[in-house]
Amino acid sequence: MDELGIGYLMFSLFIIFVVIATANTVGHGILYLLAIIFAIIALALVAGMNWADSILYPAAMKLLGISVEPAKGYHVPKSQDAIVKNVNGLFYATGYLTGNVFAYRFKQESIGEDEDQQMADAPERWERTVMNIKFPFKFHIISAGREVQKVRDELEGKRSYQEYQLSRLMQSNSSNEMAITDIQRKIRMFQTQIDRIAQGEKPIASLMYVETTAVGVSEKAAVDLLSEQLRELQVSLSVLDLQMSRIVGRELYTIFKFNFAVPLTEASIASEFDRQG
Amino acid sequence: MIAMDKSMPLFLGLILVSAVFLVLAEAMPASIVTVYGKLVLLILSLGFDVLAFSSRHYSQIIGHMLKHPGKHVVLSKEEPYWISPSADSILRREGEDFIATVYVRIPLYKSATEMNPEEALQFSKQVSSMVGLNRDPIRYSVQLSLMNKDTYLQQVRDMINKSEASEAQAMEANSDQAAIERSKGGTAMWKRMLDNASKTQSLELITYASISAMGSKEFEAVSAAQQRAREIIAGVGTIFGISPTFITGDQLKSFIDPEYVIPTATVSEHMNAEMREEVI
Repeated sequence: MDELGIGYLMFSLFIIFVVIATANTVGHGILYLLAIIFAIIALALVAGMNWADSILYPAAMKLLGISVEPAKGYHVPKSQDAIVKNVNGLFYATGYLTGNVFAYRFKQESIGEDEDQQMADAPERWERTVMNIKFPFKFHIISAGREVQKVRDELEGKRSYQEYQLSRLMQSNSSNEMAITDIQRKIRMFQTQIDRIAQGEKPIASLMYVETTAVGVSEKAAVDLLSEQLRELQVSLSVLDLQMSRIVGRELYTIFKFNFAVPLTEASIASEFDRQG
Repeated sequence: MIAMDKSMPLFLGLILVSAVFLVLAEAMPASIVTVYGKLVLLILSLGFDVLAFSSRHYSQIIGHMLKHPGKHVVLSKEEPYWISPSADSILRREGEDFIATVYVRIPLYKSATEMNPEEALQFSKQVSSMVGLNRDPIRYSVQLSLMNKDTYLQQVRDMINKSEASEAQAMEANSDQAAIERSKGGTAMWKRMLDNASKTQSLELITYASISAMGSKEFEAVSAAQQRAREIIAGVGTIFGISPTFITGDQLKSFIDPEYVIPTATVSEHMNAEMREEVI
């Protein structure tokens, strides 16, 4: 979470805690209980909007039946999972999937010996996947080169912090095997990334997403067909070790804007990188 | 120092309203009648507090809903983009500035089936080099889109009309049976051709890159984006030994607008063909 997010969270939590602390001014009976219940609901909503807004926001919009027009001619239905355009009575619904290019974090722990073999197989696997897809789709990768020294320093800092955590855990009497293994795994992961840079690999930040469009004679028909296509893409792309999840809520608007302008700096897509692991 | 965020004025306004309700609730004298008022004020305070926190990511939507309560939120009434006068990029307004985006076609026609393992490995390495080519964000895309058969389908439909007209003429003029049969045969042939063309959807795979740049004037943004794109063209050209080209004019729309990715007339004809098949 960034500084701004922490600031927003602190102010909001402060108000809720003041309400809880002063709830007894409404008495000690049922009214007090009601005040506390509402404060707890507010606390849950704030926590939900902070950590799970991609679930909470579409649910709220669906419940309230609110649709959004993000630009002229486009429309986001209340389910907040598609962008719909009506062209002469035909409805075009567009949806997105995003995922991690390196789906399994374990892969980052060691430089695989069979990496060359995997790379040699990749073109054929890709071609076979595309051949099985019988509807229009777009596969995008936004990449930006990162400063080598800065990335190396960051990784070394992270590795040092994990090493410090590990030594503290080793010294403590209640050593937790699971926690030690986890920290050791993280250290190996950072070390592998440092090694890769030392071997001459250029660090890049990347954001990958897949887009598909479905057509229907009604909005519902188009959105239903879109969901079907997205599910099919999820299955097809799993062959490439890609775990894809459907984009809903506010990220839908961000990705929709990418259609008309690619992000200008690495920092402007940093929040999207978080989601990509 | 925290920079002034777009959502901050709304957040501050809502948190202030929340605090005011809280202070009013506290300041209200406690009596049997006013405790209900106190509770309502506390609930209002909590409601505005949650709204204030939500404004971090949803300031535009919350702002619009507070100004115009309703079930339809309009974030923008403007066209999302327009093609630059030079027809080689698309433009979008961002506050006072303009963002130009240039599209570059990457003509890669290699198939994995034609490659031996060494060539396949080499190709993957070339793709990796391409992805890490530049410091500025670049988007590389592979698009599978429906081939635009609108013009072709129209030509076939015109031929059907022509053929039907000549068939009617032959029948009216009491021509010999062979001439009528010939006309009928022609009509049937064109109809079969339309049926076949509509039934199957032809797909095409295109690889392209896109890059954006900002400027305070339209031409500034366009020339900055063109400059960045020329760097990509040079880099990708060197890696693969190909000649990437700028995408211009109406071709740009086929990468942006859904009705160009799936051409309207082509898909309508396909839907009609499917429906006919279902009915039969």
